Amino acid sequence: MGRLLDRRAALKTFGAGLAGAAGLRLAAPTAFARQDAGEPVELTFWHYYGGGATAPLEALLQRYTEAHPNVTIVPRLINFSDFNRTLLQGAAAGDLPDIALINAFDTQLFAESGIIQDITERVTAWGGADEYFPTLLDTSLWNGQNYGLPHLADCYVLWYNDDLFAEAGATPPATWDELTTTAASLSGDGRYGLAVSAVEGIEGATAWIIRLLATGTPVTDVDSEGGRTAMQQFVDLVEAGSMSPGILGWIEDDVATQFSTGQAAMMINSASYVNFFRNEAPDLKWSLALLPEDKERATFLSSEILTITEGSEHADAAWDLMLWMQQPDVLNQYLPERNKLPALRNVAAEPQWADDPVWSVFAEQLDSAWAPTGDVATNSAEIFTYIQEAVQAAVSGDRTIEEALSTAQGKIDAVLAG
Amino acid sequence: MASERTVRRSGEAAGAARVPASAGARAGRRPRRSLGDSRFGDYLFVAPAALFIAATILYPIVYTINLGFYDVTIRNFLSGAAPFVGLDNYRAMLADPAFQRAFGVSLLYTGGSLLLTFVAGFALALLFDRPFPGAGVLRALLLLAWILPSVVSGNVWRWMLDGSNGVVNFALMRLGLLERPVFWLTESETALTGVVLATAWTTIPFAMVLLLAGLQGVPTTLYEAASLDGARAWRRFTDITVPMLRPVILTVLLLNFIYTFKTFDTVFIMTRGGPGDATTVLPVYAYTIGFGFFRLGEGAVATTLLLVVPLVLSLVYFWLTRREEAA
Repeated sequence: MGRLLDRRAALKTFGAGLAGAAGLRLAAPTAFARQDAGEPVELTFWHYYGGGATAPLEALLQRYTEAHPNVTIVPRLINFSDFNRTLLQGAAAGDLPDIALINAFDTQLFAESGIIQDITERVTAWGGADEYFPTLLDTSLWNGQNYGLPHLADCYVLWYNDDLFAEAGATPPATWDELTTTAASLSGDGRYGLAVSAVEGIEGATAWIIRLLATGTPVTDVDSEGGRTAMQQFVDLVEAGSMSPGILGWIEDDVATQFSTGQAAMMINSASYVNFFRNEAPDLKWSLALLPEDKERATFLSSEILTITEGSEHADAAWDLMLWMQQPDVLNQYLPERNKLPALRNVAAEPQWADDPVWSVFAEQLDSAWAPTGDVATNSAEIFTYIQEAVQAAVSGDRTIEEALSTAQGKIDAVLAG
Repeated sequence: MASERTVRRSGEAAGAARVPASAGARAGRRPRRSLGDSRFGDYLFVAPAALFIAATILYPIVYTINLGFYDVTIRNFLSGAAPFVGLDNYRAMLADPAFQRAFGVSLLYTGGSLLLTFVAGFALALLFDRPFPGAGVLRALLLLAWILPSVVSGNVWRWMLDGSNGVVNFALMRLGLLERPVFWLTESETALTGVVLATAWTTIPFAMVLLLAGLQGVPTTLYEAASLDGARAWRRFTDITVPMLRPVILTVLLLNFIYTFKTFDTVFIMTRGGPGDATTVLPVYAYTIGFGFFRLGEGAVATTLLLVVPLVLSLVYFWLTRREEAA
C-alpha cells in the first residue's frame, strides 16, 4: 500500500514538475540533455533508500526531470534485505530497471552475473572518475572495468555524548585500549559506555570488522592474533558492563536510539543519523571523533553505486542522469539532506564539507575507509555472516573466543576455496 | 459407518447410477445433455482450477526440485550455464552440520509450539464450551491474535521480550521472579522459548476454534448418560470427549504442525534465526542459503527437503482418516 501511494504521490509531483518545467522551456538545454527534447523517455530507477532517505532521493530525481521535461523517472523503493533478490528475480524475468542503485560491495557480484553493464567507455569519455576517493572507485570496478559510478560516501565514526563526557571528565579515546577505560568510566546506573550493532546478519559484523582491521589483520584472517585481540575486547566490554548484551539484537537504528536517550555514552555509527539527531533530539549534545587507533586507523565504507542494467533500452538517458548527479552544485544540495558525504574529492574539499565540524570528521575518517574487493566482495554476505556468528557466539559465552574464531575461519576458508 | 464406506468405495457405481438419471432428464432439457454427458465437458469445468494450480503451485515446485540438481549460483543463473550435479547438492546438504542443526531446531520449535498450542487451545475450547457472561466477546478478542499479520505480532513480541525496555522483564521483575533483566531473544538458551511463545500465541486461537466446533458437535446425551452411570468429569473427558474429538484433534495437530514447520515470518522478524543458529529453523536456513548467499541450487534442495516432512505427515493423516472412517 505504502509503496503504491508513494509512487502515486511521486508521479503527481513529477507531473506537476513536468507541467511547470514545460512553461520554462526557454532555459537553455544543459550540457547533459542529449535526448531530443521532444522525445519522451521513461527511466525506471530501483533503490533501497527507505525511511528518511526516500524523500531526498526522490526530490533529487525530480529536480532532474524539471530540468529535462522529456524525461520521466519512476523510482521504486525495495527493502534493503530484499533488494538483491528482487534484482535477480527481475533479471530472470527480463524485468530490470534502467538504473539500479546497488550496494557498493555487490558491484562485482552483479557485474559477474551479467546484470549490470560495463560502462568503461562512457566513464573514460567523461574523464571525471579520477576525482573519486580511491576506495570508492575500486568498489565500482570489476576486472579493471567500470560498472558504475559511486553515488555518495559514508563511513563509521565514533559519536559521543558531550554532557556525559563532561560529567565523567572524559575525552574521546584515541586508541582502542583507551576506549576500554573510557567506556568503563561512563557506564553504570543502567547506562553503557559504548553501543554498537552486532545483530544477526551482515549488518552486525561491521563494528567488529572495524576493530579487527585496526589490528592490521585482513578480514579473511579472523583466527589470528588480531582476531583474538578484537574479540577479547568485545567480550571484556560486555562482561565489564561497558557494552550491553543487547548489542546482539540491535540494528543500527536501535543503537542510535540508545545513544539519543543517553543510555549509551558513545556509539559507532555512520552519518545516516546526523539529521535524525538534529531534528528529533535537538537537546542532545553530541560530537564526533575519529575511530580509535590500534596498529592502524580503520573504518568501514558504506556506499551505493549507480549502475545501468544489461538490456536497458534507455542507456544513454540513464547515463545522462548519472552524470548530472555528479555535479558539485547538485551534490551540495542533495547530500546534506541525505546525511551523506560526496564521493568526489573535489566536492569534499569545498568549504561546505571541509569546514563543517561534523562533515569534516567523516571526510577525514573516509581516508581510512575499507571496503571488500575481489573474492571477499563477491562473498561478502557469507563472510560477514560468519563473522557475526563468531561475535555472537563469543559475546554470549556460547563458545570460547578461540572456538568461535576457528569455526568462522573454517567457514570463510571454505567459501573462498569456492 | 459401514454404509458410508460402501458409498465411498463405489464411486464408480455412483457415477454409473447418475447416467440413467441424466438420461431421463435428457428428453426435457436438451442443453444439459451435451455437457453433462461428455467427459470433455467435465474436464472443461475443472480446467481453470487445474490450470491455476499447475501454474502457481506445480510449476514452482517442479522448477525448484529441478534447480536442486544443478550447481546454480548468481553468476551462472542468468546465463543458464549451471552444471548438472545430480544428487551432489543433496549429499552436501544432508552432510552439512548447519542443515542438520536447522532441522533439529525446526523440530524443537514446531514441537514446542504445537504442544503449547494444543494444550492451551484445548483448555480454552473447554472453557468456551460452557456458556458464561461475555464469552462471545472474549472469544472474538482471542481471535484477534490469529487475525493479526505476523509482521505485527512478531514485532510486538520482539519489543515485549526486549532486554532493556521489554514489558515481560518489567512484569517478571516487579513480581520478583527475575532479579536482573533477561535479553530473551539474544541469549541462546531463551531465544527459542521466546519465539515458540510468540508463535503459539498466534496459533492458539485457531486450534481453539476448531476444537470448540468439535466439542459442540458431541451430543450432550452422551455426557448425561455417563453422569447417570456415575462417571466423573475426568472420566467423561477421557472416555467421551477425547474419543469423539479424535478426528478434530488429528486435524488440529496436523494442520498446526504443517503451519508451524513452514513458519518463516515470525522467526525472521523476531531473531533472523539468531542468536547464532539458536532459532535458525529450516525455512530461515533455506532463505539464507538461497537469497542471502545466492547458493540457489543448495537453497532449492533445502526447500525441497523442507517440503518432505509436511508431505509425509499429510499422507499419514489421510491414511489415518481413511482408517478412522473405515472403523
